[in-house]
Amino acid sequence: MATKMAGIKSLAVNNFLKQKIMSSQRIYEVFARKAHEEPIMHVGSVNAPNDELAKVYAWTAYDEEKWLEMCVVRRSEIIPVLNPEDKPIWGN
Amino acid sequence: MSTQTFASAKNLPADGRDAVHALLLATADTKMFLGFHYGEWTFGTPALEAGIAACCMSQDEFGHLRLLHGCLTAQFGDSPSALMEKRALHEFANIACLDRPLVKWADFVAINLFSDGALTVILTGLQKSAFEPVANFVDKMVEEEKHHIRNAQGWFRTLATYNSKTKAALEEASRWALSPTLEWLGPSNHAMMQKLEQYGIINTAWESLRQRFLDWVGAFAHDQKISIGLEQKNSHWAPTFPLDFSQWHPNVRRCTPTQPDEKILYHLRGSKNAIFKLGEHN
Repeated sequence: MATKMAGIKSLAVNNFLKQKIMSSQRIYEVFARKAHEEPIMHVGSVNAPNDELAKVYAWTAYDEEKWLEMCVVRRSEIIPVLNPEDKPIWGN
Repeated sequence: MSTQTFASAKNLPADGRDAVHALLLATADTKMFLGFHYGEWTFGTPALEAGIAACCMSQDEFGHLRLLHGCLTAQFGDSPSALMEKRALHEFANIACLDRPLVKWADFVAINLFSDGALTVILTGLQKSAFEPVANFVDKMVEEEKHHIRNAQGWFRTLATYNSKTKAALEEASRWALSPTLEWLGPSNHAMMQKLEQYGIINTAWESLRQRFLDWVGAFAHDQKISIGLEQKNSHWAPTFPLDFSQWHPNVRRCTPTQPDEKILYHLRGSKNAIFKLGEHN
């Protein structure tokens, strides 16, 4: 792991990039199912800067199961039906 | 192109056998180095999820490496430990931009798109190969590689459009990675590539595979307004920089006597923990 830590300048660039990317993150909820007869269910969430990377991250973060179908939804697009204001229904 | 299939390497004509062996070894070496770099970037990525994706891709690459080493062992009599331990640095046939540590995140994105992308195009050329041992596992590799390409394209678009600094870093890294990747793909008119086509080891001409890669990355980078050193001529994309293949060697797929960093091989070989390689010492 030590080999990567080659240049202070590059570290600064990476830190700059990290701060910028992190500040542009959105939260996506991940849904999946393993068989057609199963209901699609909530399996977790990912942070991503855009829809394209959200799809990649959902797959790589939750690939321990043999999913038949998986999709992501922007948390901001979800319309709550029953949602006590002090308790987010989707966890953190 | 021949319609004959080959159940094992011993059924291949000698010139075809050498060509297949060299291509599989170069593919295995490139996957080994990609796996190392992806694994290194499990930490220090711009976001936690990017680290998970990098780690996941590293596992894929080492899984593919294991399959390729298994094939080289069963079909060509290569010993996996010899492939890792006994070869001199100048014998490794990985894409040369993987020789050194990747210093910045844009380098990671560039090798993810260009080096992994070129390798994946070659793997698609091996689908339905007349060499059955490869045809048996290559579809699974291509399927897993789709996620690598999606990760590369997602990050390429993100850096290309985020701001002028990320765009400039991406452009610099892309130019750095593209040239050695094209060097690794090599000259299409080389006898080795012609043998691969002649015996149906690849499902199309090598030039078609090379052009498929150029047309894909050329159009993709152009759409993101990133200048990578390719230009469109008629309907195809071609490098704007010279590539001199006069000294190109098919066993290492390089034009010049470059080699990987010894420190990377030290990590890959597990040299620090050699005494724990149980069963290898008396």
